[in-house]
Amino acid sequence: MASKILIIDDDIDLVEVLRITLEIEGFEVIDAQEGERGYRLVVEERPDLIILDVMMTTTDEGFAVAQRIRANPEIAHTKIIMLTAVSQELGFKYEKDDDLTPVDEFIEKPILPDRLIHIIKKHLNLAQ
Amino acid sequence: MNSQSNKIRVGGILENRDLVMVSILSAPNIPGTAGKILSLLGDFNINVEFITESCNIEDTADIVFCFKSADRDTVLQILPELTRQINPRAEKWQDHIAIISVYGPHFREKPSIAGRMCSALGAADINILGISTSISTVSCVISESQMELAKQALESAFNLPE
Repeated sequence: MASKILIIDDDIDLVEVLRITLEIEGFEVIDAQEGERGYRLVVEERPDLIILDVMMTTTDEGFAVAQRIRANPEIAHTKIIMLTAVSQELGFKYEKDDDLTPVDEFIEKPILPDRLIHIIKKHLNLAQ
Repeated sequence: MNSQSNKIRVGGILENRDLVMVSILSAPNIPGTAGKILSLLGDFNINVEFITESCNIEDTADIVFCFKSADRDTVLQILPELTRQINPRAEKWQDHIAIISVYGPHFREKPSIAGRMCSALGAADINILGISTSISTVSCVISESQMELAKQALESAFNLPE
């Protein structure tokens, strides 16, 4: 069965580009454009991995979503890759922190499709 | 045709209000014209929300762009320089503009989205002032005063997520 990936990002063109890239690789893709709906989809659809934007309706919405996911024991194990443009826009880089930034990996936008696929497969323990 | 089962499922509707539309009409249809216009806007930090260019019956170019009305004064200030550089036959300025978009997923595999969107707006007596597409959206420029009507028309025409 195909691994299910949820993209939570308000840049709908980026979502579509990611969807095309991931579907070519055989992944099932679902998406949400804001954190509340994204969280609901995690609970309802149980994706294997989430690609999560940081800045959506608010500048740190992605972190709030990640913290909610980690706080729910039923979905806390879900892999989260956080896509961020903060180093471009604000000039600094996030690092993983179990409390503040509880994600499995940070990726700076833009990212080449091949590298994204490599990182996703690494976290899902899929053959490269 | 409008029953729920026949409606195309789309990701959602996006509204972009509070815009101004400028049309640069009958500009010379030569390489570099659009680049000059858009570079000048970029130099003044104007974020362009919509761009189209087309070639008309005179074989000159019509270039249309929209931007947020907060940038109105800046664009008004640079428009004379822009027309001096481009030398179009006319410019047209329209305030109180909005863009309504329908977005994916899988628009590349759904050929009838644009037709259904434009037909729904037309049936609601909404005149489309411009159309553009991206990888995931079909966008129509309309008068801002008709935004609510346009939203209702598109909500009826498409199957939207709950």
